[in-house]
Amino acid sequence: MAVLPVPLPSAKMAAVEKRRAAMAPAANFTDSGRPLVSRAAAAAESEEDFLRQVGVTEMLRAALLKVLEARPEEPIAFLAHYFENMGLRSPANGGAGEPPGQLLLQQQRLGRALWHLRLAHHSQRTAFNNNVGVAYECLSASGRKKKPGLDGRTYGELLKRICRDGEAPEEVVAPLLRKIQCRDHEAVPLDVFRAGMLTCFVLLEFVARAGALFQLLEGPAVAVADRRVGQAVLDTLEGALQASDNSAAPACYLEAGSRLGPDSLALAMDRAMSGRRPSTPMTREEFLEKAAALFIAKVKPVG
Amino acid sequence: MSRVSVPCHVKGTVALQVGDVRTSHGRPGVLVIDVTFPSVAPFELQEITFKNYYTAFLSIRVRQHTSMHTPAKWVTCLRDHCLMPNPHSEEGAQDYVSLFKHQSPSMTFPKWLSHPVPCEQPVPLLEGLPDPSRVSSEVQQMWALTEMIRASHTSARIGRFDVDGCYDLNLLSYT
Repeated sequence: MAVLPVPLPSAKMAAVEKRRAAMAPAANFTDSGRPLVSRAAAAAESEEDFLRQVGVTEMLRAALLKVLEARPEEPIAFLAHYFENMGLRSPANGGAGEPPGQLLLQQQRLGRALWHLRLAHHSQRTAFNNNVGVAYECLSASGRKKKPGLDGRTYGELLKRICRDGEAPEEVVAPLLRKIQCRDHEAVPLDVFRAGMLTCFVLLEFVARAGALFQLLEGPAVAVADRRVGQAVLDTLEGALQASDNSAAPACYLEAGSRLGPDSLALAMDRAMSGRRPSTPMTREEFLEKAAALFIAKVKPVG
Repeated sequence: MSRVSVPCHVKGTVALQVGDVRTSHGRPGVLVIDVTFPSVAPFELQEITFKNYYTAFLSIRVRQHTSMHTPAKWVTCLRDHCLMPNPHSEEGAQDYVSLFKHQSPSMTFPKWLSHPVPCEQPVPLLEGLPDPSRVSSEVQQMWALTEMIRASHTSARIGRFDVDGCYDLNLLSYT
């Protein structure tokens, strides 16, 4: 994740101290005739009011809701990043010099959008869609020179960044980007954005699975797989996907289940190995590219 | 031949329910009623008569003693016999029902159903093949992800008006 500039803590702490000093004498002013014992109650009330007035109550509530929605493995780090992002949203950056330039703003926006998009896994569809909406708004916000809305260029940059951070090789994802990218000047509507984000994240998971599959197929000491075996497995997957083209659910699920079961895969691999063709190596990159091509073929191009 | 009613003892209903009956709150949909025949003399059951009370489907299983030497077997006489065409309507809810012996289907099942063939020996595979079950698991997940994306295509259009990637004004006027 990109490192976002954080305002110096000392400036912020000073502001907080000043506020606390201002409140203390106010709490000491009691109405004439009020008994002394209620001063403590008044102080407690003013503390609650203070928290509500500055918006801390609402902010903490939103933060807790976000934690519940995202269920992160490291909640403290998650909350730290959350508040870091909150701090950047306010234009007055704790008195830090002149406002950042346009490029930096753009990078910040991308970083924040990425952070939102990663909060929920794509399988948690409702949470994922919510986060997509927030990311879209974040990117569509109008800057000083920027008109409101999401343009194709920013969309494309975001897609590339997601794939890069997801450790998917460029050659593997390039065909997808060609299919779903928009022209630089085009305005990207929310539906297209949402579909693109989902496709991107699902492809990343697909590529991760393909990587794990390659590890199963690769030789004991070498980092390559037998081409015959690798191709046989990919062909079986392609066959199952084509069967889904022809038949509707649930027949296609039964068909896929039978083709992709361990027995038929074992037979396919066995047949491939015992063929007369000699063994040649297949690299991980080639395997991932071919596997991703099967996925990308089923993606509807934008237009 | 005259018909004689056989004295029987109808036990209380037992709910078939997963989990603890006391703590779970849902009302079970399946109840079992045990009927025993205290008289020892064997008889041939011809007819069962009862009054329905909001049961939609009925299955009857009978424990038959075929001979003295073979142990008694449970046999299904009736499976999911429909008493109420629509469980949410009144029709059939409080009918008097008579079930006759000839209504139960043939008892003999095809041999292969009751005695399935034991699993064939797996074809001996070449040594050094990757673990098929793990390969299968990964491939199936990849299939599922692809199917999900194929199914979730959006109908939203970006609103392009080009023809084959070209915005030529002359071409546009023909579309």
